[in-house]
Amino acid sequence: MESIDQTLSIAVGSDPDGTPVIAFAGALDLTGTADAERAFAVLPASVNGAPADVVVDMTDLAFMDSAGLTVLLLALKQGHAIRLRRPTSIIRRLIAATGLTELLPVEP
Amino acid sequence: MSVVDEDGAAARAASGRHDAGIPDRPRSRPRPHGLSLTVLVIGLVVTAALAVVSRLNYAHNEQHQVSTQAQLAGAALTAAPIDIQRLLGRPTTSVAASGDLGLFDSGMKRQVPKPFVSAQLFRMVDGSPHLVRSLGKSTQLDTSSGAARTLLGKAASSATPASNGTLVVTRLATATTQRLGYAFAATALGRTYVAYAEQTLPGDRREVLKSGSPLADMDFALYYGKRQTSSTLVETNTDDLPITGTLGRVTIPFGDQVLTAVMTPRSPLLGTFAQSIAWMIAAAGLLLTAVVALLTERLLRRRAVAEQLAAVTDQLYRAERGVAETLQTALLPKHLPRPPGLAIATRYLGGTEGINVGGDWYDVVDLPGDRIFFTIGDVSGRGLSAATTMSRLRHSITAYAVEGNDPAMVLTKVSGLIDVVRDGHFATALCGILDLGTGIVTVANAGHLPLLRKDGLVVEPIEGPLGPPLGVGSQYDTADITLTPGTVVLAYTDGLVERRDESIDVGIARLCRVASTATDLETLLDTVVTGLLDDRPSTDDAAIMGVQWNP
Repeated sequence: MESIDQTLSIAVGSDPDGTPVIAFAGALDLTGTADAERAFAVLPASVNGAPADVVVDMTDLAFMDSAGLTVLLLALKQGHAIRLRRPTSIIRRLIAATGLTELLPVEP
Repeated sequence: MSVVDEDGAAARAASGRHDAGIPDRPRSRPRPHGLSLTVLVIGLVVTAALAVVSRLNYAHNEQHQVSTQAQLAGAALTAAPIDIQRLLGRPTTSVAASGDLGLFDSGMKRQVPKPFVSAQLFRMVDGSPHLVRSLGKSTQLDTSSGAARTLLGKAASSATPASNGTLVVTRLATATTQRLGYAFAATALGRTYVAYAEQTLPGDRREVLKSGSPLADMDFALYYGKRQTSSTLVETNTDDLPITGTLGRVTIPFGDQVLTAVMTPRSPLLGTFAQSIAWMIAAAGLLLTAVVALLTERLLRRRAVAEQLAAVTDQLYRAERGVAETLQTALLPKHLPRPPGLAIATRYLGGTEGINVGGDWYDVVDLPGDRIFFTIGDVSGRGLSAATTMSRLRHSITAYAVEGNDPAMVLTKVSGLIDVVRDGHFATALCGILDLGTGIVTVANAGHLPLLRKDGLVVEPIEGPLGPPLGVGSQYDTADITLTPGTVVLAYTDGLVERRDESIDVGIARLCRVASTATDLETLLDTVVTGLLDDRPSTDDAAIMGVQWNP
């Protein structure tokens, strides 16, 4: 448990098709929520009135708790259409157990 | 709590908390710390040592300079006997060479009465002096005495036809005057003449011998022989005798005797700056020591203030923790309904770390028609904000339930009451209505962990429709579960099962395993709490509610 990287690092980029990508690495918990919220805040929440797609890359995210989930729900409520990229099975299960499978879909 | 880094601010902070029972800072001026005093003492010792070393070094260098100057002055003073020897020697040599006694008179007349008060010429006959010429006053030396014969004989014996003799010097003292007597011999063609002259030393001993420029800036005293007494003083340029200070001494040959010159510079030869370096070091050292000692004291006092603040913070923290626990207890229901045929038990545990106001809730209310409504839920996050949101949601849920809404409708309505953007939280909640007559439970779930059912020793999650959390979802479905007599239904929050490095399923499976070991409802909850939470420091709170249907 102690081996998990306790800090959150954030990288913002975009896919080849132009979709913005926010990559979280480390741990997304209470200590990192402010930074994580800022990462969403710089992106437009909607494009021409429609929710703006954003990919949340969780490839290197080792841990997320309900505080991290709050960040994602905030982004949802602000209009972002979120797709998750490669969440760990633990995070995937957390999202499913919270009834958010449809609202926070995992990329195929 | 912010760190206060100024004494004044700390004092304000401390006095501002006074009414909260925090002890005030002592008013009396505290004694200096030992470390500051140690710094002060060490600084003073080092300063003193440096100043002394500097002073010694200066004294050594100054002494060296003065000694060098004394050697130069001594070299200049050696001219004096040579002059006297020349003044006496030239007429004497002329008389010896020519036999013309008038040459002595003509040679010496310009030297009497100054520098010589008297001048006489003796011819040595068979080793005895015979006075042949006398100029000036009478001599102080009794020239017929044995001492005079010895003196003149000594001068005569030093002279040879090839070279002049040695200047023989004597000191003649009476109660009132002192004279120096000089004898010098020359011999030629078998004739030996000895000139004898006396020089009076002035009462103030000034301007006896022509002194050179090396003595210009020196206080000096010239003594006959090696002893330095007032009676042997030949010449000086100061009234302050004996001479003190950084002394230079030099011994100067004076005929067959010696003179001793003692001198000291009137101002330091190395300059006043060099002289004052030691004082500068002392002053700078004292200043530095004082500053360092004061800084040390200040730092120590600040540390003391910081420690005091830490104690205050700790006290406040404990107080806040106490408030939090009181609040939590107040926010959760104190009394639950006890309908016949139904056992209800609950446990709530605050997190063991940090301020423990949590967002977990449970509640049970009676409904008309021999039914009960139960709910359990969890507002994300912690602190007063989470707790007040929880309180709002719990009361709304029970209110909607009492109004007659089914669990799905209760959740739908309550979902509109929480906004993650506005509140900063979201919430999961599970609601159910148990018909005590039929044992049918109607359940709706907004993102919450599934109910467990325990039949005998088998414990397993109850699968059912799962909607999004409150504040996110708007449509919920219900599912009916049929209990058998004795079945225990367990509802719980994630604090009981969630661990950082494992899937929620692992935690639920662990809960099922622990719950299977007990039969009595109260024992079951105790076992679960002990088995899952003991020795696990957690910032999250946890709640569990068990309902056993015993118709």
